[in-house]
Amino acid sequence: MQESGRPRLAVYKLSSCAGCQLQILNVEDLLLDIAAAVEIAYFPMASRQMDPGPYDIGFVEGAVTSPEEIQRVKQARQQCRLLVALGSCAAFGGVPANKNRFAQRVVEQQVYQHPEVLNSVEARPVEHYVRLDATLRGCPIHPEEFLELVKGALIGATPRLPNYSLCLECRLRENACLFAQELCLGPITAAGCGALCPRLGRSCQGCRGPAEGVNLAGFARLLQEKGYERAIIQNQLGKYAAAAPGVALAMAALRWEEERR
Amino acid sequence: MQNLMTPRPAVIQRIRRQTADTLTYTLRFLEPEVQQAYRFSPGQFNEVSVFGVGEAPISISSAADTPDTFEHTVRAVGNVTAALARLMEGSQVGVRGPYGHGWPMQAMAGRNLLLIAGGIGLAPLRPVILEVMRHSDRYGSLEILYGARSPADLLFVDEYDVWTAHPQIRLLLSVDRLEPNPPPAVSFPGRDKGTDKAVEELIRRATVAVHRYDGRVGPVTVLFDQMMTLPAGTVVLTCGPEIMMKFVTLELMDRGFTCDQIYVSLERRMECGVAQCGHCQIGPLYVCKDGPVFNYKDVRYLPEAVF
Amino acid sequence: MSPPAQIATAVRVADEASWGQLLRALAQTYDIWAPVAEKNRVILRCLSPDELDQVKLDAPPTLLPAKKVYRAPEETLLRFRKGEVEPLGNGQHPWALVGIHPCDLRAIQLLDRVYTGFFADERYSHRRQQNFLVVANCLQPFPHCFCTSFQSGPFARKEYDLAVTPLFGRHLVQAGSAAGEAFLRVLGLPETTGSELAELVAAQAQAEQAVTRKVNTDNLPRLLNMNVDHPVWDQIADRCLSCGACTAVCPTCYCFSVQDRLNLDLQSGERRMAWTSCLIMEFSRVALGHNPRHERVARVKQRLYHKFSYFNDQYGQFGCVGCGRCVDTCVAGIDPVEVLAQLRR
Repeated sequence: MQESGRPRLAVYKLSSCAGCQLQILNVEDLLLDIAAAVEIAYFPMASRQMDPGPYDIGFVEGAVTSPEEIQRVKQARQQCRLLVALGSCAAFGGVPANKNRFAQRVVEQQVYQHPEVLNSVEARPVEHYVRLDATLRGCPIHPEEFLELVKGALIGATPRLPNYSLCLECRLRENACLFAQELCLGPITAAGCGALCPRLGRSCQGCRGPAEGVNLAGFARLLQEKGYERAIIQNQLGKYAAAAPGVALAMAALRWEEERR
Repeated sequence: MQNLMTPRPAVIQRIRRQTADTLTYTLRFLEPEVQQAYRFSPGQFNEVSVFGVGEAPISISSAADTPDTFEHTVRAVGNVTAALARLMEGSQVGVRGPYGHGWPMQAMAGRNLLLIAGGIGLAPLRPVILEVMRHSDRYGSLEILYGARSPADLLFVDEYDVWTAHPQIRLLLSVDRLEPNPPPAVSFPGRDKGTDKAVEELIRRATVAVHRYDGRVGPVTVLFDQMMTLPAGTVVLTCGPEIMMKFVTLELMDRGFTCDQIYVSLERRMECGVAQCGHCQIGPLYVCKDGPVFNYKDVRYLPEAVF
Repeated sequence: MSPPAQIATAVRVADEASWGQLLRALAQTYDIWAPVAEKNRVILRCLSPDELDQVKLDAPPTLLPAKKVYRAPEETLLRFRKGEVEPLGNGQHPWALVGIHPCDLRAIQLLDRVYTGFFADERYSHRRQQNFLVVANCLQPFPHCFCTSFQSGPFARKEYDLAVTPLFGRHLVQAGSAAGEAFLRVLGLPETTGSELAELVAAQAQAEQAVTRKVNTDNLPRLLNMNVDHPVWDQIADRCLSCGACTAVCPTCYCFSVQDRLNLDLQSGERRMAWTSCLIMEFSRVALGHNPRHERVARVKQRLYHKFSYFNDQYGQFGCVGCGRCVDTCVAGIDPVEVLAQLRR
C-alpha cells in the first residue's frame, strides 16, 4: 500500500473486446464511493495517468494470445499482490479461444491477408501462465461481483462468488426450463448472472464458464442422446470456455469420437 | 426481534499469540446478563461472527467454570478466522452459543483419561485438562498425546510446565518435522506493526521452539509405544484431522481399547449451528446438534467419515 | 392403498359465485398466495385483490413449492452496522395459501419438524402461526406424481384450514380447523346433501387409483442402508449433472447457506440466507479444503438417502412427499421411483 494507505488498483488488457473494463466504468459512480478507499493507479482505458507498480489488486482482462502478452501477464503477477481474472477471456480463454480448435496457421490465413506479420499463439487463460487469486466470470463480468471482490479485498476477505450450476439459480428464479427445446448450457455453467438469458427466454450460452465439479462427460452424452451432433456440442461447449482445462478435454474427446467414426 | 441465529455482542478482552497462525482470544459478552447466563461444557462450540465477513463455528478452549470470560483458540485458515486475526483487543465480535454435545463429562468421572490431539485439535481438549487440574479428585490419571506440524506449531506451550507439574498429568509430544513452516500467508497488520517485524518474531519463536523441543518426530501415533494408559477404566478423547483420528482409533483398537470407550470430535461445514442449514449432516446425524463429540461406535460405520 | 380420509366436518357447496365470494372474504384478512399460470409455467405468487379470478385449483405442481413463502429463496437474516446488530421484524402480512396440493401441505408439516423441532426458528414459527391454508384436493395425478406411496395425497387428511375439491362445476369445501370452520360459518355456505358426499368419497377413491407410480416403502430405510454399494449409485452419478435443480424445487429440501453482504461504506451490511444444494461441490467443504463429499456419487447418495432413510431417523417420517417435481425438473431424467425400484430388483 502507498503512503495514502489506499489500496492501489490496476487494470490490464490482453486480447479482449474491453467489454469487461466497460462494466467497471459502468459502476464508476459506486466505485467512487469506495474511492476514498481505492486508488486507481493504472487503468489505461479510463485514465491517461499511469502510475508505476507495485499494485495491491490487479485485474487482467483478455486471453493470452501472443508472446508479448505472456510477458505482460507475468509482469502483472509480479506487480500485483492480488491478481484477478476479469471476465471469461482471462478466466477460460473466452471467445478468442475458439481459434484453438484449428491449427494456428490455418486460422491466421483465414482471417488476415498478411499472416506473416502476426506473432500469435494459442489462446490461453491467465492461469495457464501465472497463479490467480480470484476469478470474475462472465462475458461481460457482472458489476456486482466486481464490487464484491473489491470490497472483499478492502476488508481482507475472499468473497464467496457462485461457482455452482446455473440451473440452481435459474430454478430459484422460477424461470421456465428451456432445456427440452434448446441446447441450454445451464446445467454445466456457473451461476451468478441471475439467470439473465433464461429469464428473457433465451438458453444459456455458457458465458460464465464451467461450474465447479461439473459432469461434462455426462452432459455431452445427454446432448447426444437428445440428438445433437458432436460438432454442434463442441461449438457450444467451446463458445466461451474452449481453453478451460475440463472443457478443452471434453471437446477433444468429442472430436476424437467423431474422427473415429 | 431476536432470532435463533442472532449473535450477541462480545468484546475481545485479550489476545495471546500461540503460533504463527493461531491466536487465543479472551471474550466477554457486552451485556452482563448474557455473560452471567452463559454456561458451556468442555467440547462445545460457539458461532463467532465478524460482521461483514461471516460466521464460523469455533470450539471453546477455556475452563468451563470461569464465569466472567470464555476463550477461543483459532487458527487463521478461512475468511472469518483470518478476519478475527486482524482484530485488536477491545474489538467487538458477535457470538452465539454454546452449541452441540461436548465431551462426556459424566462418563469420564472416576476414570483415567487419555487425550490424543493433533494441531488445533488440542483447543477443545484444553477445557478438559483444566477441569482435571481443578478437580483432580474426580478423575484418575490424565495422559495427553499431542502432535503438531512442527515445534513452532505446538499450542499452549507456556502451559506445559504447569500441566506436567500436576501429579496426575503426563504429556507426550510429537511433530511431523523439526523445521518450521514457511511464514503464513496471512499476516496480522495492525498488531505487529509491519510485516517484517512480524516475520522476524515468528522466526525467532520458531527457532526457540526447535531448540527447546524434546519430543518425538513422526505422526502422533509414534507416541503409542511410550503411552502408560491401559484400556481398563479409561476414556479416550481425540480431536484432530480426520486422517489422524482414523489411525489413532485403529491403533487403539489394536491395543485393546474398545469402540465405546473412544470419543471423537468431528469437523464439518456448518452455517447455522442449530440443525437447520443442513451442511453438517453425516448420515442421520447433525454434527452441530448431535456432536461435535461422538462416541466412536456411533460414527464408525457412517458414510463419508474416514473411519 | 390408504383408507379414505376421514371427513371431519360437514361438506359445504360453493358455486362459482360463492367461491369468488369466499376468496374475496379471505383477501380482506390475508394476502392471497396461489398457483397462477403465467408465461408457460405455473408459479405460486401473491395476488392482488383484482386478480383473484386467476387462482388455479387444478394447476400442475407450482415450479417452486410452498416453502418459498415461509423462507424465501434469498432472505435477510439480520442487518449490522459497525458491529451492532440491528433487529429485523418477521416481515410479511398474514397470508392465505390457496390451492396448494395436499403433497405440498404435507411438505410444510415436514418443514415444521426441521425448523421448529430441535430448535425453533422464531421467524418461521411466526409465519406459520399466522397463515391460513386452503388445500386443493387433486382429482387427476400429474405425470410424475407418486403421493399415495407417502400418504400425502391426492386428498389432504389433516392440518389444513379449508380443503376444496372442484367437482362437477362446483367447489366442495370442508373445514379442517376451528379457524376454517368459523370462516365457513360466517360465509353461510349451504351444507351438502348425501349424494354430494358420496360423490366426494368416490372421487377420492378414483383419484387414489389414478396415481399409478409407486414407491414400495416397506423397510425402505433398511433397504437403502443395506445397499450403499449398489451399482445403481454409480449409474446415476454418471448421469447426474450435480446442478442442484432437484433440490431447488423439492418441497422438503431445507438446506441453506449464510453469507454476509457488506455495503459500500464497509461498515454496514446484512447477513443473508439463501437456499443451497447438497449436490453442489462446495456444500460440505470445510475451511482447510477437506470435502467429505467430493465425489459426485457421494452427493447423489446424500440427497436420496436423506429423503428415504436419514430423514426417518431424524424426524420419524420419510422426507419425500411424492410431488414429482424433481423428476419434472431433472434434465438428466433421474427418477427416484425408478432408482428405488432398481434396488429391489
